[in-house]
Amino acid sequence: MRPERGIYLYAVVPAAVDLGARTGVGDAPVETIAVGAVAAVASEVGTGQLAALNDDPGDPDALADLALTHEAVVRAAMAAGDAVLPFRLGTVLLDRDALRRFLDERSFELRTALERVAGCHEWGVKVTATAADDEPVAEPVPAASQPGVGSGTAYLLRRREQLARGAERDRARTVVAGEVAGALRALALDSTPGRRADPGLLLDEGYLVPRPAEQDFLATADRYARALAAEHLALHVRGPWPPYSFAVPAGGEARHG
Amino acid sequence: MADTAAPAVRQTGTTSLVDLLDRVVDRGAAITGDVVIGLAGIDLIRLDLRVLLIAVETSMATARRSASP
Repeated sequence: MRPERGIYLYAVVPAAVDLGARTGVGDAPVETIAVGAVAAVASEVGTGQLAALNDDPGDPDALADLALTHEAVVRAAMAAGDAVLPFRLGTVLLDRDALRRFLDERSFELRTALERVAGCHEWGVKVTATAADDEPVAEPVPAASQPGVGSGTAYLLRRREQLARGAERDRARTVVAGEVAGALRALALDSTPGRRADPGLLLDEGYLVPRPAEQDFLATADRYARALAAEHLALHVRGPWPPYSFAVPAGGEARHG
Repeated sequence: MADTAAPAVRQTGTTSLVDLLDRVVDRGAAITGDVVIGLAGIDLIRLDLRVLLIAVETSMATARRSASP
């Protein structure tokens, strides 16, 4: 038997942070529950409401709504103070007492983690091959449309050359991507690999960037973007994000990545 | 083929849903233990969110393909 009501968690903030009046998941009022120096940003939630997500995995809209609401409250918490530790989507505790116990027991780790991300945003950087590059250069004419033209041997030789050029290009690109990552890491407090193992991604990292270094970080990214464009590579910068990828594993769970 | 060097594709303010889900589903502080609601709790929800994430990505990819000339 699960309880009907729970406490949905958005983020941990320093205790003094005031979000003002706003609503969260299911339009429930957002509360700031403080214990000592830290506070949790939370709202009451009907667990049936979240269970409905489980019951209906065919409805991406329900997930999108939840994610956008979660994000909006986390961003409000970030804007209201200097430091925010976002919780993972769908974190629900039994009740306010359980939340207070959690804040009390984890007080030291939470304060340490808040200090670490204070004054920082997360930025995501990806390097991908541009669409123009996906099309093979000088694709041989399909044999079916021109029967008898060109021998199979000539085709294979051309194809092998293409592949060799491709392999060399891939090596060069790996080196360039490493260089970009190194330059960006030098401006960040921390970095973390992206989650998705997409072989088309040459670089996929998150960076914890202090606000004073942000301009430098973005200028560096722009500089590399221009250089990479000549190699048919695109550099995508996403942000600023709340430091989702740099929130401490509050339950003692190992960090992903 | 771009005529001019493309600047970094920088998206600020407005968030891409897939990028957002990438972060909120898999990142962020996690709590484990008996204070977390079990049946409708985080693990079950997270598991199915992964399925949903794939559904969202697929539907967005389809939308992109049909939108491009």
